[in-house]
Amino acid sequence: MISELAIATYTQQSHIAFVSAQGLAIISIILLCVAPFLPRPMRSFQYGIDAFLSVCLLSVFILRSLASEFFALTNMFESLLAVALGVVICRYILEPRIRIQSFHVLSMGLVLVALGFATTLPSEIAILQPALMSYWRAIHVPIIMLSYALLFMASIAGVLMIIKRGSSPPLQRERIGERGFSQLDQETDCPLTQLADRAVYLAVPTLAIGTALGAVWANEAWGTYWNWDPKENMALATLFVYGAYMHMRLNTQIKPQSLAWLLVIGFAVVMLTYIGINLLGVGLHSYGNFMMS
Amino acid sequence: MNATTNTPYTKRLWAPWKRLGQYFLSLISSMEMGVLLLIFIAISCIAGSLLPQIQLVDTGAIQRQFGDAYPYLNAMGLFDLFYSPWFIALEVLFFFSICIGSFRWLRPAWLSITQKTLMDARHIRATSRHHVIDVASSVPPPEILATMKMALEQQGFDVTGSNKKHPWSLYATKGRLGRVGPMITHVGIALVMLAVFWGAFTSFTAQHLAKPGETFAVSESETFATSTKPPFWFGSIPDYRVQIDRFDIDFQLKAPMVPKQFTTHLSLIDTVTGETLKKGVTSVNNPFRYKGLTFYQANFSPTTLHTLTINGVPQRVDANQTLAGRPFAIHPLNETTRLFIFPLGRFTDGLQVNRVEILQEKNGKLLGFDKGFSVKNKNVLGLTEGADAQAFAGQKIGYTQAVMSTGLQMKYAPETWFLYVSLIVLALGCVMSAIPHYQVWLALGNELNTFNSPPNSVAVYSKAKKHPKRLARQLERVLDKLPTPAYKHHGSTEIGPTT
Repeated sequence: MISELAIATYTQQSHIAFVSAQGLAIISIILLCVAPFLPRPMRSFQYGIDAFLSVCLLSVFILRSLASEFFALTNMFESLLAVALGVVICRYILEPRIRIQSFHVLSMGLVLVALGFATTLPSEIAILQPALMSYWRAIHVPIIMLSYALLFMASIAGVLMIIKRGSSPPLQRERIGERGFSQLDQETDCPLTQLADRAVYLAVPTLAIGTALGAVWANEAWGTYWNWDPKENMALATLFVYGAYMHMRLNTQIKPQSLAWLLVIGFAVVMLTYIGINLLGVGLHSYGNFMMS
Repeated sequence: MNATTNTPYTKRLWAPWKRLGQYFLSLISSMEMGVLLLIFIAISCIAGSLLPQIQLVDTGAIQRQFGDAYPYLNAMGLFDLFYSPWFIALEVLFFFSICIGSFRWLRPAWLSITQKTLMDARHIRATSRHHVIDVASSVPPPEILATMKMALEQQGFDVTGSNKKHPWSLYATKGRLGRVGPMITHVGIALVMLAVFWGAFTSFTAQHLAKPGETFAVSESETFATSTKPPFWFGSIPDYRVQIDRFDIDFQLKAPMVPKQFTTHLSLIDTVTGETLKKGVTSVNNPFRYKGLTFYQANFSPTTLHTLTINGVPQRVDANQTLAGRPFAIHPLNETTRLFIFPLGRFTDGLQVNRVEILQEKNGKLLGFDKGFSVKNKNVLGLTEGADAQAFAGQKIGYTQAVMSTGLQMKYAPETWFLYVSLIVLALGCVMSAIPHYQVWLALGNELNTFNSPPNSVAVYSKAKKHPKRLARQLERVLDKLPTPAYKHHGSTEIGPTT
């Protein structure tokens, strides 16, 4: 049993880490905005800030978990932090060299919005319902949050594709382009399309696996693997919308830019799944509400 | 003779139906139909999440919310959307679309990874993501092919030689798991749907709120439901009885009134012999299983049973009678005195603790009753659950606990193992689908009867499923290995039959 003093210390430290993360996110987005005017060595400073931001967000989870004595991913506040952490890390997986600056700026904007929204929510460590006291929570919830982060980034790429439609410069001829490989399939080779595809191809399996694991947990806890609960329905809707995107990408008659709208619709569906359904406060997942259980 | 004359007639008779069947098969298995079904089901799921469903919300509340529009929306099945005939029809269509479509769309994929066929020019031309490079070199083409074979193998490609059926000199492939991934995913989805289908005809669920000490048969539970009705339902119902031995609630240390875990100890009793078949424990997230039947700890509820201590000896009383509209229990102390115990519930004075008020009846007169149930009255003893025992009616009386009944959910679902296997297949397919698959075809110019390529050249055709640039870079490294290379790029428009 952890002492009251230790709980207070961990809670205070997690708050400091959270505030630091907010500050670092602001610095990161400013650096990204002014990056074209900075000398090249200064740009690498960006990686350091983002790494430190990730460490701060991770620290919040670790400290809150130490204070609560369980894996602290239990309410909307913590899930927003998880999505923010997912976006900070995954944008480097999707676009490690920061060549599409606007994508990184919007992604960091999303992180800022998530952290800002989190400040408006109760941050007290929740008291868990018995159903949530399971190792499955530490598996199912992070996987779903990771998929949401990836889908948000796919949507950002979709928005940028719509904005840049018509105004996009000719494809840069890189070394591989000199021999003609990149001259073909210009639509496919468009960096934003590739980015969106990569995000969706990673997110959909992640979401599918997360949902499947959720079904297994539901069967252990509630005695039913699928209950047509609003959250479950929306998870299925999200999977099917992005499944439709993946299948439509196979049709070469459809330009990827046209499918950018589907990514934007997908964003609305993910938002409805992640936040909107919680407002209804019904169903088996209603403890994921804005207020703590 | 009759047979020979009838056959053409039968064929003619069946021909339009056959064409119609082929048309429907083609329609249902088309990619367009698949995408449409995905979108329709997604929209239905969103509608079913936003509109109140009768499983979650009281029908009266839905009627009040939608007023005059309720009958029309209800007739459309929008308040029981996921069990409505049209949604079930969508699911069935989706199942057939995925089963038939998978065979049609993914057969070429399977054949391409097994390298047996479909490497002809027609197949390549049908795919739009290809790159054509003519490698004109002073070096003899066979030598170029040998160098490229080695270079491709260094890049991790699996290279095979020429096939008599096809004009290609070399065929190289990489990431076959990625190619087969969508197939596995589709199979996984179909298996999951089959598992659910199987469950609909064999499974049942039952809920029962039972007091400790109570015995009941599963089929006599408060709610007992099968997905389909007999004769379509062919599951089995256990013939043993369930006995609740004990029920415990463990409360949170940081919030003493919030349950942390609740646990039921139960025994399964043979109906005929009365023998205990098995003893078990079930708690939230830790179900107890016996021969296909799973016992889940679902909830709990207060009962009329209360445990008191009288001079340190536990006594269980049952508040199953009412006096002035309030439940109470009687516990005799001696020949002239009886205790009347009135439970007050869990929310007295804003505290989430159980309380009882106890009055004594002496020689047939209930003392303190005329004054109401005021604890200030010296004839009324107010006791809080778990508090110290107090002197009353010449005894030391304490209130140990309000006995809770356990809410059990029982489920017989023989399809569960099959569902889990299906989910594993689905997850595996999803992971495999993320692996990029590359195909490269190398051909000598004079072998290309169907393409416009110079005769003294080697053509490189490639196709990438995901990450085409990565494949381009890898091919670039392969081409770098060639001696004295001279490249001439042919765009996609140049691909086409010479005829």
